[in-house]
Amino acid sequence: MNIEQKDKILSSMVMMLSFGLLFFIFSASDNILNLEGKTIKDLIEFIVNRYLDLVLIIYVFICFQVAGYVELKFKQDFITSSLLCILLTPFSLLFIIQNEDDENN
Amino acid sequence: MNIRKISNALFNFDVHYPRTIIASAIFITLIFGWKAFDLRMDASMRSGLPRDHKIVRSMEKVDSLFSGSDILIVAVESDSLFDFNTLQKLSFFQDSLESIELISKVTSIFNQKYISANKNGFEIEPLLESIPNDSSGIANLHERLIQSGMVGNLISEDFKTLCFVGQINSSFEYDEFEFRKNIYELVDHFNDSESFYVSSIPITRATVIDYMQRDMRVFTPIALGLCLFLLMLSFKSWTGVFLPFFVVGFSIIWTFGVMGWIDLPLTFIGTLIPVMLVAIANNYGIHIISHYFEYSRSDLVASRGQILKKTIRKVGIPILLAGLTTMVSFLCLLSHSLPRAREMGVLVSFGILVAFILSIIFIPSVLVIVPRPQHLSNKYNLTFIDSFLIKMSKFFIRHSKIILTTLSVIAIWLMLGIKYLKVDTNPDHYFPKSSDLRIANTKISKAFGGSTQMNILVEGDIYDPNVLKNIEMLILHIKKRHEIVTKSYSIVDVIKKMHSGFNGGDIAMEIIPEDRELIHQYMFMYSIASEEDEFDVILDDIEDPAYTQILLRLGEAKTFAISEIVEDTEQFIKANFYDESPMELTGGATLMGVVNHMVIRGQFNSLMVSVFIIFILMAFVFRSFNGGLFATMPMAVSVIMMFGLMGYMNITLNINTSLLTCILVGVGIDYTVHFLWHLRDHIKSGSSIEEAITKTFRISGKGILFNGLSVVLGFSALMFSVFVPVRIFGILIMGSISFCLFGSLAILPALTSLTKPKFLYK
Repeated sequence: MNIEQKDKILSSMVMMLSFGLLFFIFSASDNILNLEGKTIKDLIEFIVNRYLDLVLIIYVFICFQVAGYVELKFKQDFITSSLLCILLTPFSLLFIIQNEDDENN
Repeated sequence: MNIRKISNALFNFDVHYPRTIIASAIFITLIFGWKAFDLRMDASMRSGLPRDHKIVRSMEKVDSLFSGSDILIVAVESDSLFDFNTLQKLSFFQDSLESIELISKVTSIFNQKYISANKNGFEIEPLLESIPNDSSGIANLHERLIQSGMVGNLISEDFKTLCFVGQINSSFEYDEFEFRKNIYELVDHFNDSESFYVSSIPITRATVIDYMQRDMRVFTPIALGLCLFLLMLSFKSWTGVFLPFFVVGFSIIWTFGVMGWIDLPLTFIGTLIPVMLVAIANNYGIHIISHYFEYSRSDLVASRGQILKKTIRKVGIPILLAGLTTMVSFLCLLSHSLPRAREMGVLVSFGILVAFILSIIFIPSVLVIVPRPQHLSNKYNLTFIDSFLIKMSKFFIRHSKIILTTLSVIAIWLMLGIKYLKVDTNPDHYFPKSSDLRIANTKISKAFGGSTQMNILVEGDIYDPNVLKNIEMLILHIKKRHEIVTKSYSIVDVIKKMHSGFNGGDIAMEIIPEDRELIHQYMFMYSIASEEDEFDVILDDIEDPAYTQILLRLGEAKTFAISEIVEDTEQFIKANFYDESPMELTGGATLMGVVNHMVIRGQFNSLMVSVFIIFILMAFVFRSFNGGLFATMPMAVSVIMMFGLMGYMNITLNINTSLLTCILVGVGIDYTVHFLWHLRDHIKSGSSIEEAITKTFRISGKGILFNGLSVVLGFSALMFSVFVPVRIFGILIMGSISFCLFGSLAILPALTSLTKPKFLYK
């Protein structure tokens, strides 16, 4: 077994531990929302009314991470990808990647 | 093992086990994060106080002897205050206020006694026997209020405002937020056509913390967003923006996690920790990324591993030194008198240690795995920033004398601002003039002489006429010397009133009787006629009291004025009653004044100790006295300039503003260490001092500039807050970082090019 394989196995084990811990934290938490009798619309209304700032921050953060992935994986410009991603949702990046592939073909 | 071997070992570890390192960092963050989100807030004063301080001990004594020392004032204003319905409603309000758990006693016109002379001596009867429902009854009540001396105390001179003085039965053991909520809920319930005003130090304190946290919640994400935006424009890559960001994020989670695991509550001072880590801890990551990008651009053939190896070799030591000196500067807070400041010093040091370790282990691990950004593969051209930095370095070298003279003049001018620096804090001024709290405090201060109370605890044979005369003399002295003291209340007032009443209401007889037995009889008669707890606030035992407290009402809660009263009164007590009954100042207001100054003094001391230790460390690192001087001088000058700027901008020195100067020391030393280390490195490689400065500017200078500007731009968002402390927060952080930038990117290049210090050539 070479060092890279050893690294991959070790990291997989640690990640599995992390997921296990994450699962345990959520299951042990007593702050889980009681969704009984609530529709998806109620849930969305509840989140938008109470945590809109948090939702926006999480959305922008995810967009940046997706743009980072596109930058590093598909060699796209990070600033352009980030702006497109935030303004036109992460799905808009599919068009850039597609066009790039077309150009390569 | 030498440094090269350590950096090689570190590099090999990063290169061989990058995924394991990343996964482990995530796993450890989860373990810490688990408890970080369970962190409980502690807004109470008690946990953060120096328990062995004499005022804290005397406050605990006062709590056990009397029914509390802090007060709450609720004023009610109405044009029809003496209408039957209004008075009846306010009578119910009095009962409801008394039913609040923390209120031990409420004083108002509804339960005050009236001493009147009669043929047997004097008679004690309720001031308001029944609520008047006709104009003659109201006129009679007005007359009794004037005669009993309640005007200006419990009723305003225009008879349009009356007040309820609630005695808070504990000095520390309560949640100020819960207390404020209960009071406001009650007031809202009764608020109808009358105007209610609430004022109390605990309520002001809770509102300050509440506003601060609310604004910080809104503005901190905006500040971080702006920081990230500038880093995005600077590095144009995910790695440049998010790797330093993750390091700071992880260090904050680990620090809060440690607090959670050891069950340390988050206090108001503790909320400064993330701000400090954002301002300081992203330095290390930014320097690694900046060097990695620069080496990648200048050597397109080298592999990622080779570039990384070079980066770690070049920046590992300066980052270690920067981290070490910053940790030392925060650990100097261990000499602080306030336990919470000591805790903050240790916790921020821990956060910096985490940021340092993650910067040299986690960031290289990610850089090993992910490809280099596309823009680094382009043909090497000087970017706008490169050209700007090179021009700037040449400008500072060419005009070093003019630059140093100009900067010295500016520095001296700023330093002169220290004479305007105020240590006097009035929390009321944090709020806009239109805010409810400020309106209430102004109204109550104008009508009833304020809502801040100072207490003096007196021990001895209280009914002894000599003791009473001493109390009277002390009160007269304080009121004469300190205009801020608007009113006083003590057992002397009650005894004088009774003595006058006993002598047919003769004003001339409003004096302390010479006979102890007579005083005892007066009090006995009063106790029969009144309620049992009538004197709970000022006497520990009505039969044979061994303790009493003097209550002084202050027009404003100004900390410096309070500490002046404390100092002057203590001197007066020592000079006049040295062999007499002991007297000591106590109460929430006294504590506020004394602790505020104690903290500021402690902060000055720890600042001086940290500057000295950093000087010794840097002199040892550069093996030169001048090396130590060059490394610490820009930061030390910046600290003095910062205090001067605070003086000019009318920013008062208090617990939070003085603690924020730690950022200046931390960041200042980081920038100078990086600059001097890399400058010496380039000189050692054979460059002339001018070439070395230019190269240092282009590589390390870029990291310093990006880091500094991102923090300055980010925290400029706080300037949009309407709440003064949050704006001050922004000004102090922006000012600190700007001074540090000037220190390392203007003073140091000009000074080193002019003096060519020998330690750079060793």
